[in-house]
Amino acid sequence: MKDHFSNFENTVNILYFNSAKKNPNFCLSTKSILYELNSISPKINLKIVDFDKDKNTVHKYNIMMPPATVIQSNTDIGLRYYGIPSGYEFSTLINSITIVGRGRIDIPREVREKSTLVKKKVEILVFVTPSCPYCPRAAAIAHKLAYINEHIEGTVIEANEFPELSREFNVMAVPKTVINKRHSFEGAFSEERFFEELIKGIS
Amino acid sequence: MLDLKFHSETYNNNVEEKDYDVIILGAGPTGLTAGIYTGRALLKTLIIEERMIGGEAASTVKIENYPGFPDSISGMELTERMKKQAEKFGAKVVISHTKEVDLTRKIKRVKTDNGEFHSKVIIIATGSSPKSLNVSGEKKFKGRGVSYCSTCDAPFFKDKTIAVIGAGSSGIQEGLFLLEYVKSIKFVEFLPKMTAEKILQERIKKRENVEFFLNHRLLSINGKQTVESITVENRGTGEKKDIPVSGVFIYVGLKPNTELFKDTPKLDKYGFVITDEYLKTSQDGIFAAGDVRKKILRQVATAVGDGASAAFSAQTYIEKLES
Repeated sequence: MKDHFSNFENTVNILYFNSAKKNPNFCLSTKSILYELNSISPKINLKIVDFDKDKNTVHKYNIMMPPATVIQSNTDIGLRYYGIPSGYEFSTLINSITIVGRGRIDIPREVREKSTLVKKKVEILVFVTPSCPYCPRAAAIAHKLAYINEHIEGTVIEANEFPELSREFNVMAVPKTVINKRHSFEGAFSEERFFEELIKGIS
Repeated sequence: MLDLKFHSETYNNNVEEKDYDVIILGAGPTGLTAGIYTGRALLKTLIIEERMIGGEAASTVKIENYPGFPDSISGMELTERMKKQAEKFGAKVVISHTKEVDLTRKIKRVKTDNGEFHSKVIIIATGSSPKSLNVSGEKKFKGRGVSYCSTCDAPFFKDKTIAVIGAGSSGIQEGLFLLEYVKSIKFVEFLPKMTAEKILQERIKKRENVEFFLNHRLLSINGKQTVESITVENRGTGEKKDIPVSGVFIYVGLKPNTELFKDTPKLDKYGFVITDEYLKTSQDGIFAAGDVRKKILRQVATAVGDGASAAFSAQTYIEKLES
């Protein structure tokens, strides 16, 4: 893992929203994973925010509930992860950190070009489970799109740990992606197809 | 202790080089094994995966019959190791959607989302996907109670009664996993008896919260917003029955991933690629291996054997081309 972070060009600033009251067990596990990552690379900074007390920061980052992890460079670029990044979702966390750390992403040229034309706010929610091997791909695409377009926000949610949200969006299979709360699709698509679905959600 | 799995395919997709000795389509156990062998033969190798490194095997919770792992291994871990091994010997592995292939020329062309690639040889290792039944309600409730991936979706059916369609090895193996979450399972099997490996049959028979509907055909999946019941028909008596369930997991076999190829190379009537004993297809320079080809047993153990053989045949073909 150390080698993986060694060629980072940028420092990754992780903002982690922790709580001793809400989802305390999930928070504890998430914190320990982030501490571990923080300790193995000087390129990863970790700042803990108290979800229960620091209302300004919670509001500024529009955090719904803990545990929430914001992965950013010097500014907020819209990369969010809700829940414990365990199981296959550990890959999602590492991939998102890698996007910011390397400062570049691999995405088909056509998708990159088309995505820059999106000028209105897009909220992508990707529901995942830690035992779903297809999920990191959907999550990674959401975070790639968020990275290249300031109007797009990519939020990954561990469906088991947030049952109310899962019920609200009728999540019964993962990965389930919801665009602007009105268009959804299940499955791990290619970047091109994912982007086509995103356009459906904002048209 | 938290279980943390790290697989790295989702970002490392940058491929500068366009020309290869061998392009392998598919990064399941077959394609990855072929990549290990072509890599060791010092053939410049690109492995292109459509969806997920490890293929269908990667979504298998526990693989118990692959030699060398007496305590079993998860499909993801096994295939991640295979990927590392292929990369160690020089194969480049990418995830990209393949839009088009031209297999008829001396130099083969593969058009993907990441650009066009060329090679002397293609090994088709695109595998197979879970088959759908095309019964009433299946499409409507996909993602609303109908699932093909127990590892992904099992937690949504906690303490519920569900149906598993198919009592072959996949159905029973995944059913045993689902029992860690669900209240009970109704197994529906078209044939008069289970076809799963005997050891799996023994395990499932010991469970109390399972019921078998053998020699039954699934007629429909019913409900309003989500799945509420299934209707099955006894193939012997013709009697129909509604069974209340909240979810349906379907394991009724596999269909080959050969949509890309049309008639080149030749496919059998089910769409599987026809090969000879050297895994040569009807088209010069095109080899096929693993689940995608016509064969009697589709397992990780047979997939890796195919991968090695196809790589050897590819190597021989290239040597002849260059002699």
